[in-house]
Amino acid sequence: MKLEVIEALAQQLQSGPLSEIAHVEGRVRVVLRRKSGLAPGAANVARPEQTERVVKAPTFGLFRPAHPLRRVAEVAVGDQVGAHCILGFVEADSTLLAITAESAGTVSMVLCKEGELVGYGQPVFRLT
Amino acid sequence: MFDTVLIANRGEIALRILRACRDLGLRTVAVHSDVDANLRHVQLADQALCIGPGPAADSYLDPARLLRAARLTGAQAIHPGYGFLSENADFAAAVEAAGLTFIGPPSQAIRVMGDKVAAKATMRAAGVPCVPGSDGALGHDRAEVHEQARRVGYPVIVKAAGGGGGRGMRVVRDAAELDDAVAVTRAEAARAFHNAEVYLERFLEHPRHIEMQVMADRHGHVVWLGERDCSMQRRHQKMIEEAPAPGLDRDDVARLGALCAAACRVIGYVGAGTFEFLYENGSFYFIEMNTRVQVEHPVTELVTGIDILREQIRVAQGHPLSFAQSDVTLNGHAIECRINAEDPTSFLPTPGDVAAWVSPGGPGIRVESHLYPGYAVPPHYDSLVAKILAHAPTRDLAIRRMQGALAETTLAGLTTTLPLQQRLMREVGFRAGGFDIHHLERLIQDGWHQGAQDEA
Repeated sequence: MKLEVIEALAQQLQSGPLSEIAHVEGRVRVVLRRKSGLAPGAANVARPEQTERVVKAPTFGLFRPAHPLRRVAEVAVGDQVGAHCILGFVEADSTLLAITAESAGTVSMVLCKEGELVGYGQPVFRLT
Repeated sequence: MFDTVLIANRGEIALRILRACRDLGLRTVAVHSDVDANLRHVQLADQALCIGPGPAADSYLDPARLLRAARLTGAQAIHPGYGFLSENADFAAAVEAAGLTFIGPPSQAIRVMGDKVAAKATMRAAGVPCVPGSDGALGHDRAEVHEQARRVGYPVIVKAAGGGGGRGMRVVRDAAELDDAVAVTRAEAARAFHNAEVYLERFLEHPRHIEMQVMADRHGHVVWLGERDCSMQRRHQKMIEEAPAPGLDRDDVARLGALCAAACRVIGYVGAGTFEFLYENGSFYFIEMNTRVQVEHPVTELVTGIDILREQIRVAQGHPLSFAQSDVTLNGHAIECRINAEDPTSFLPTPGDVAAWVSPGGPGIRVESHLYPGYAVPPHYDSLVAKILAHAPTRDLAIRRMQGALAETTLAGLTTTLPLQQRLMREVGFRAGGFDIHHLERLIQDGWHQGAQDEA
């Protein structure tokens, strides 16, 4: 096995969400494993589909699932959303602040009702 | 008239405001930062709303957020407590402009008393005694400067007009030293502050801190509720407050109270306020006015039996004061010990988790605290976690009760000033009463607080 291959594998491990890489080439088997202290939360990142996350209100105000000009809720339960996708809004005086997903996932629950007063940092959506 | 009060503060004073509102049948809204979600008053309020992150600039100190929170929650009044925005005239004006009630004086009164020069001039005009001084920059005519110093009375302190923080000042005890002191201070001031102007004031060597509680309503009634002695201080932070002040002539106090009440009328004051004075050799010298409720207000509540927070809120609702000056009588003696989450030797803040908290009780004991077991003291704010008060017919018995209260207080998980307060209750100078504002600093300099020798 060439040294370059191991280097490439190591780089992949370092930059990606993986915690372990196994590589077999002929009769040689290489396993690269992160030390647990080096990648806290690596297991979570590796399998985002299976962890539940909440999306929090960026400020306090009234929860608006739809933009007032569109009148259709940005998302519904079951929708797949990408990272940075807008899920809804918080109305703070005359401005609307977008509530955005930090990472991709599926909307599993909307935790607030239209027009409800939400606090800063209050969970508004649940994603899986 | 408002029926919902937004509490724009945290900690023990937020809880005190909540209790006063509850007694008056008012709805309460607790606004808080995200690290303060577990505060006691947040749990007890009719409505709670997180308005921002831990740093006060993004929560308790942000006028826009507070006004928005009031609108969203239907609160028609805002109680600022002490600290934070309580003495911010612009905030008070913004609350007024929004059609809400600021539970405190009119913004104009806050503005006048917040400007040190304007405040002193206003007080002097109202007949309130101030530290005598040259009232302006000294001229270059030596004879005239000597005449001013003689009129003010030695010892005097020559200060740079542009100075501050203890820099650019020189104490003069004798007329023979005056010319040199003025010349040297001028030269230093020109170098350090690019402003050679100097002025002089009477120098107080051993002043006590005496303050006068006042209350006024919107119907022209003004009363004074007596004085507090807050001379036990460290770096201008009060540690112990008591009422009445030991050894003061009661007629002098009554004259001062009447002057403060008259000054309130001049500035159109409404609500609770405090005039702070230095006191030396039988004379009072105005320092500043606190245009809000103070940390140590319960000391006065105990000896007068008047609920200052309740009156303050009722006055803001437009009611007249529920009592007159002739109803105000002093009953016994009250002492407050501040328990801060800070190291009792280094005085550095010590945030942490409260492992155990059992507050004291018994006759004459009052505790103002937001602590409970499991509460975590965040590092972002003031370190005051509890005020323990003792009230008794005499000062000696009040001290005795305080010693018992401090001894039975269980507070585990936090490092606090509790042991320091226990030592102070035994300290000779405190026991005697009448110590000056440098007393505690002197004790600390001498290493007293680190427990070398024991006291009386």
